Amino acid sequence: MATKKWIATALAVCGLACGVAQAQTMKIGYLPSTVGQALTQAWKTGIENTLKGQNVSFQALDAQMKAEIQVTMMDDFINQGYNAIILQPIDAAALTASVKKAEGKGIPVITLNTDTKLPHAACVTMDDEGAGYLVGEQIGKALSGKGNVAIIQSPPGAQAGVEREKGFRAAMAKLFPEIKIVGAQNGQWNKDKAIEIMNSFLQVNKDLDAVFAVNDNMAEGAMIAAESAGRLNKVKIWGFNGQKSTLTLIEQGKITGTAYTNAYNQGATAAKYALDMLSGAKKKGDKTEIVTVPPFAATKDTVAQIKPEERW
Amino acid sequence: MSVSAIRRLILTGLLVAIGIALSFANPTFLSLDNLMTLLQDASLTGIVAIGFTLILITAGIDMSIGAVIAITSMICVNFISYTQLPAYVYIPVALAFGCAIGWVNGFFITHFKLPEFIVTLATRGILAGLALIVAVKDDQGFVKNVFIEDELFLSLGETIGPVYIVTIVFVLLAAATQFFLKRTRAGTNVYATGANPTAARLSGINTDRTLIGVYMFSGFCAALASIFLAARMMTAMPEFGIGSEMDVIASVVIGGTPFTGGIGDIWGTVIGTLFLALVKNGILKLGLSPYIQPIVIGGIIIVVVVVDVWYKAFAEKKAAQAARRKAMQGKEAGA
Amino acid sequence: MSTNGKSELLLECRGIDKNYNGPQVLSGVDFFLRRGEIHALVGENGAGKSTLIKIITGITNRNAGTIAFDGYDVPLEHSKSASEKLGIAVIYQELSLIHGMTVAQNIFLTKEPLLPGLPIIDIKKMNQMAQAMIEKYGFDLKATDVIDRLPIAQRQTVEILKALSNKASLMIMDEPTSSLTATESERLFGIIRMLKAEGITVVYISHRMEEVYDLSDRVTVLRDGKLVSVLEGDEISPAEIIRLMIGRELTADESHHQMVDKSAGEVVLEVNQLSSEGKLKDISFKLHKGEVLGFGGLVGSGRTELMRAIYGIDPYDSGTIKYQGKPYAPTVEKSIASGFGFVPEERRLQGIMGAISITGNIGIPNLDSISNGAGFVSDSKELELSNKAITLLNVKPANPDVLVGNLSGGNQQKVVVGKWLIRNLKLLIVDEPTVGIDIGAKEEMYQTIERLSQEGVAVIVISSDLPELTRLSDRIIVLRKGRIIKEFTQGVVTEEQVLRAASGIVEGGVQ
Repeated sequence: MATKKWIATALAVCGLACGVAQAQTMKIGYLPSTVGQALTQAWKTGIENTLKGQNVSFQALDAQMKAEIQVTMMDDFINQGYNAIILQPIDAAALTASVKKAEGKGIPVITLNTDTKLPHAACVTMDDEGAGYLVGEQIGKALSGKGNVAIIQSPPGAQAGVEREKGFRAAMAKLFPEIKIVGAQNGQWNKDKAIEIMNSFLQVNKDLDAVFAVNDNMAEGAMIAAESAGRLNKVKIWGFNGQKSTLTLIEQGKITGTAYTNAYNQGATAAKYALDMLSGAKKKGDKTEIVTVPPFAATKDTVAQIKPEERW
Repeated sequence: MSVSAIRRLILTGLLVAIGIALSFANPTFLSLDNLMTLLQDASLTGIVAIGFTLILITAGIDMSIGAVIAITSMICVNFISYTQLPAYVYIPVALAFGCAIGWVNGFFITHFKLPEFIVTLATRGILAGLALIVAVKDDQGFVKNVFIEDELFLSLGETIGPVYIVTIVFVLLAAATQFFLKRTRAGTNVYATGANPTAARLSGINTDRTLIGVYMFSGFCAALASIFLAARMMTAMPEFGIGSEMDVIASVVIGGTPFTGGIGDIWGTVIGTLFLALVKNGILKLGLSPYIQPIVIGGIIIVVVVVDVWYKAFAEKKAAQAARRKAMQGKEAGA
Repeated sequence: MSTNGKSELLLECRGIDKNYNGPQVLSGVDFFLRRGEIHALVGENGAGKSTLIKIITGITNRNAGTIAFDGYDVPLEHSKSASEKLGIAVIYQELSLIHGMTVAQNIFLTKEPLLPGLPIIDIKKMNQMAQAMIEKYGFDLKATDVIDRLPIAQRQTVEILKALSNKASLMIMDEPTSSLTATESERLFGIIRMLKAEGITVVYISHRMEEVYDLSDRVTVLRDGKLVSVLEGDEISPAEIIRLMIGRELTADESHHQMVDKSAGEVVLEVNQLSSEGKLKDISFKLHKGEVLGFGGLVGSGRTELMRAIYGIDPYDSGTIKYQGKPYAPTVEKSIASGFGFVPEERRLQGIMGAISITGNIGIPNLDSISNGAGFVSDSKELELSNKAITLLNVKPANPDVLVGNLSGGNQQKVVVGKWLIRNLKLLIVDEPTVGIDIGAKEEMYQTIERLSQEGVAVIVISSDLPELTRLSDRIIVLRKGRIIKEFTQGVVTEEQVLRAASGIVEGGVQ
């Protein structure tokens, strides 16, 4: 036992020494809600392209859509002495403590899409509420201010999804009071679940005119359901994000539109901000700096304006 | 040597070995910060595992622990959002609620002689749904995860020196529970009830009361963990704890408390909890895919249980041989 | 405990009635116990012995009647803990100890000595107190022994110590010798006499008449829930007790049975030099058609292990087995297909499926004969088969849908045997066939075995019940420490001869 302890101590000393020697390279961590989505992949590509050629090592972890896991992983980045963290909080409240802890140790945190409750370096965000409003305007105009629409929602408490829905509902209430919202159900960000929900919408509402899914995956699910029900040409389907596959479906006329954001650009913006913080070009302020990436309504008419290299 | 002693030795050895390996692979592993966060994580699971150990000693199971965590955290944020009551008032209320859920579990199990699994699975479902219903909502009815700003409540997520309060509580609770099990009559009753309920009843033990008490304790532990989790995350979410049952069960089983009842103790669970936390942290530190984590944990459980069964058979064989030798000698003397 | 001014009777039960929402289990039973006597309570299964005991100990409540214990009138609403406080203890047949706990923990369960003024168990004191008790009675135990590692006989002494620690003045022993070997039983009788000498009253329930005869001061006989008779002194004799119990005298001469040489018959099974590490050493024997071969020996002498090896349940290391003249490598499937039947010792664990009906229990090992080529089971064939077994063995109730777990021990055993009888049986192995079953069922079991042997089935009987072994066997092989120590082939074999051999006392001294 005593020997083991001695060895452990020796190793520990050794290890710490190594740690000091390596500290020259900057380390940036990327922690999205999950890595398995086109959006988070696009962010990652954007970040990596920006960091290329810099003296920076880069690590991405997968929080598997669970706030508790994301908090643990934040701790790990902090304990491993990362110099900056790019985070997509699964929940604004749940990650606040972690962000506070990191900032307290002088590690700038740049959040993506979801802000947290306490100030940190920056939040590079799509304008969720604004873009939701934009989608509302588009649908309302296309229906000439009359008809029935449904919403495929995000999980309760997922701030980005909730913001999008709020924006959409605000547009409806303000601009098109005669449009009825006939249903809203949680699609859990998930294509399969969205198919299931869209099926029930289609069955219950024989004259459904449009559906707004708060992300593209769910819009694609809604499209599959509508297509197999033979009502694709009667129901307008709008998604959100503007991932590559959805843009293609828009070109084919199967999906009506999406609120496109250049996710590469967004990732790159976050990475650039992190580098600026590390080089001292930017200083931490009292408040979180909100960097908004403007949305763009991609429809069959406008989708050609998005260049191939901007599609993700 | 007893099976549990052997296992404890092996696990402790492995614990040290993995620690050494990890400190080689990743120099930050042995940093104080990392060890303390690791202990913080382990303590949250560990507190629940302490209660669950008693459940397994009675040969029961409690599937409701995760949902108790969810509902307890919801109770706390409701108090925080809608009342001005101080933490020292509503925390005991939340803990009492955990006990009450345990009482309901125990009551249905003992009074209606229902299987533990079914009863606690039902309460799990009910509580998980209830947690969503009582969750704090915004003005449009969306679940809003409240950012907790109650200083006193949040101080539970802080450290004393380098050690998180939750870790201190875990250690104290573990020591107290171990002492309770081994040195009090009520603790002895827990073992007796699990090993042989009929014999326990015949010996004058009120096994129903013992079982209800054990389920109440399990509910209490889950509620306690929930409060520390909420304090750590500075928020509460209706999905807190849901799905954490597996980690808890794994910790207890790795620690040497089998499903068959009558056997087990808290030190084993403490080691099992640390072991599990270390493995999880190790997977993260080595940069391995987090998806292999459940595979690794599952594998460890199988190995541990197989070694157990193997060693138990070996020990029994030796004991039987010794008994036979003794019986033979007795026979010769008697005949 | 002083008896000054107290009546001579410790327990007076008068007019006890009990029915479990249906049939009357006890009607108007009187039961008296004198202080410091050994009192046997006998009767066939279902006679009401267990119910009477449950009423006295407060596990169940009586419907009518009075009970006075040591001058105290026991109310109708009695309870187990109340009876314990009065000083009534039961040493259970299904041992009621907590495995995994030590001897001391079991003795003092729920009344552990505490540290002064604290709710904390004083482990040191508890162990000392237990050790002191053990030494007082001269038992072969240590206070810190864990129950799991003790043989059955020693566990029983722990139960007795537990009762003594409760200051029991009445100790009820329900079939205490059913799992014990002859020597262990003898030792238990010594303990019982010691208890008597201490002034403790012992109620003794047993199916073994010779024990009852040897031990008891008085005997109460129950039949069909009624008191038949109370015997005392010279009135007690095994034959008389049995007559009162079953209402008729057994005609067969049970203790002296002539060996029969059947070696002329065709050899069914031949075992050569069978050895298994730590269990069996160089076992060789031949079994002939129609022969009943008895295996004697103490528990642990290798009898059961040998049968399990022959039947293909456990592997063996070396040696050969021939079946009907051909080399035979046993597996359970092959044994069943070859017409072997096996009635295991622990029927509840190995022989029956309690939650399944009689039909199911009979049908499962005979699926081959009741299913068609595609593997589908024919319900009507299965039913026909189980009805056949029920009639053949006189199973009660004769209802094929009854769950086997609800049958009495004797009838369960009949079902286990019945599984095999309806096959084309060539060889039947029965391990302790009559443990825990009543006299009547026992006799039926003997007749079944005798009938089978007359029909040409070769039978192997393992039994620790020596009268049973000598009565049934045409030849007896005695095992000791995994070897054959003695074979009796002719003449009259006495129980004593078998016991001496089993204990290693053979011509030429102890082996």
